[in-house]
Amino acid sequence: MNMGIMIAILGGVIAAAMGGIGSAIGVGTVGQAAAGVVSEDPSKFGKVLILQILPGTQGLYGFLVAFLLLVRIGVMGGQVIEGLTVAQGLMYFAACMPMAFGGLASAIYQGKAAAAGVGIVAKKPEESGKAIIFAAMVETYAVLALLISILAIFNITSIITAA
Amino acid sequence: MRETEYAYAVARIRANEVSLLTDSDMNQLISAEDYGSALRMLTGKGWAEPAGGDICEAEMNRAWELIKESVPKAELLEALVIGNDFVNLKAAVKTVFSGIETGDYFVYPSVCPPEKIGKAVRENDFSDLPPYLAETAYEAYHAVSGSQDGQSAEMIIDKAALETALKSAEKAESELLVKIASLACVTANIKIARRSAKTGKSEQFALDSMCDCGLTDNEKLVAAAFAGKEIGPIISDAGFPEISEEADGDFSALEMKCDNLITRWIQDARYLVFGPDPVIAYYYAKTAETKNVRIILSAKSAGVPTEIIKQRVRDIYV
Repeated sequence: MNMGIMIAILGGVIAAAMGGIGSAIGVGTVGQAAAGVVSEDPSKFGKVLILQILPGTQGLYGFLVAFLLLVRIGVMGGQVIEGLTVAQGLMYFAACMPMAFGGLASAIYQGKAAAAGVGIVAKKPEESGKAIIFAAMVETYAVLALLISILAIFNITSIITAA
Repeated sequence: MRETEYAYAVARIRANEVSLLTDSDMNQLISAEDYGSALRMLTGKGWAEPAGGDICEAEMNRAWELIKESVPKAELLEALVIGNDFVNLKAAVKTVFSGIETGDYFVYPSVCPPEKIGKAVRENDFSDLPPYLAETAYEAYHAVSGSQDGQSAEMIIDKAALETALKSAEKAESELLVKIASLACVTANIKIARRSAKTGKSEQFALDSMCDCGLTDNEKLVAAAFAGKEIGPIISDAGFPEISEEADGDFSALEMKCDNLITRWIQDARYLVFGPDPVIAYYYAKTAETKNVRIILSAKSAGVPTEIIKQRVRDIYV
């Protein structure tokens, strides 16, 4: 296997790992806060669960980017692109970075925003919709990172195929 | 410690904050017909009256237990209750030397079990006590047993209590807790300086009794108090301009100002999501609440008019 392929795979691995790490931290933070509320009032389980799920999406996005990359470079289908240069490998690597860093940061901060929302649920459960909106706003940046990574992976493949 | 480690504790505290008494609850309590109906109102709000115990003390115990269960390291927040260990030490020394039952005078919650303090004083063996208490207990015990000087023992204990609370607050990595402990030290120093001057004690006695917290210039404070000068400007220079006016006035007004000031400081913690401050704020909110309830219940049992009760009641957190 050549160096280009290795660099491209590394990009996918980093995107999946950093998205996963961010989500684990975010979901863990909200989970602690949610457990605090549920230990006092178990009837609020449903409302805090929604908040806990929110920072988990970045892990999925990272997984999606890594999966698409592996498909595009042929690792998943068993037909690896022959002769992928280091420069081309680096292009794939760079394409994965928005999701890697955007996913990590947005998951952590979304976890904090959602944990703050758990406080709203604890004191004013009727306002839980607003708590979800505050946390969901952070998702925008994870979605933007996902989009740019996907667009880059698809277009890099087109460039390589055309060349 | 990472602030997010308090996420669980803060969420539990937020869930419990909804059961704090509001202004309207306090007004209803003040307007209650008598002691019995005030007590019924409290039990209706979830306060549990222990058999033969103090309803306010039971609430404070509940609050401390909640904090101990929720925070990652309860020993970091011991500054909240460590003062009660010294109150219990004082009670133990006084009761042991007076030959009366120790247990009736203990206060809760505390860091060190009061029974342990009582046993140590009874047996004149302080080796089982925690280090912050053992030395003070030894000194206070020997002040009474050696020279029968109860006042000196009290002075030793009060001074150690304030210094230990301040040191303990610094461990919590919370500016709020340090600020509150500092205010307690400064207030105590004001009272000692003025009381010593008023009761004809020596300047040296006042200086020995004052807390060496490094916050106030004790010599300047004592000199001003003994010369009958205003001490407000000294307190203001020490970084506590909020209480400078009350520093020269009535002690009860000074205490009320301090309580209200703490309530104002802790109100900022209402909007924090992580860190120890919301937990600390809850404990002080509960302290202010039980203080008010105690004032109201005592006033009700003594038949004090509603208007006078209202003047005594402190600001509340919610």
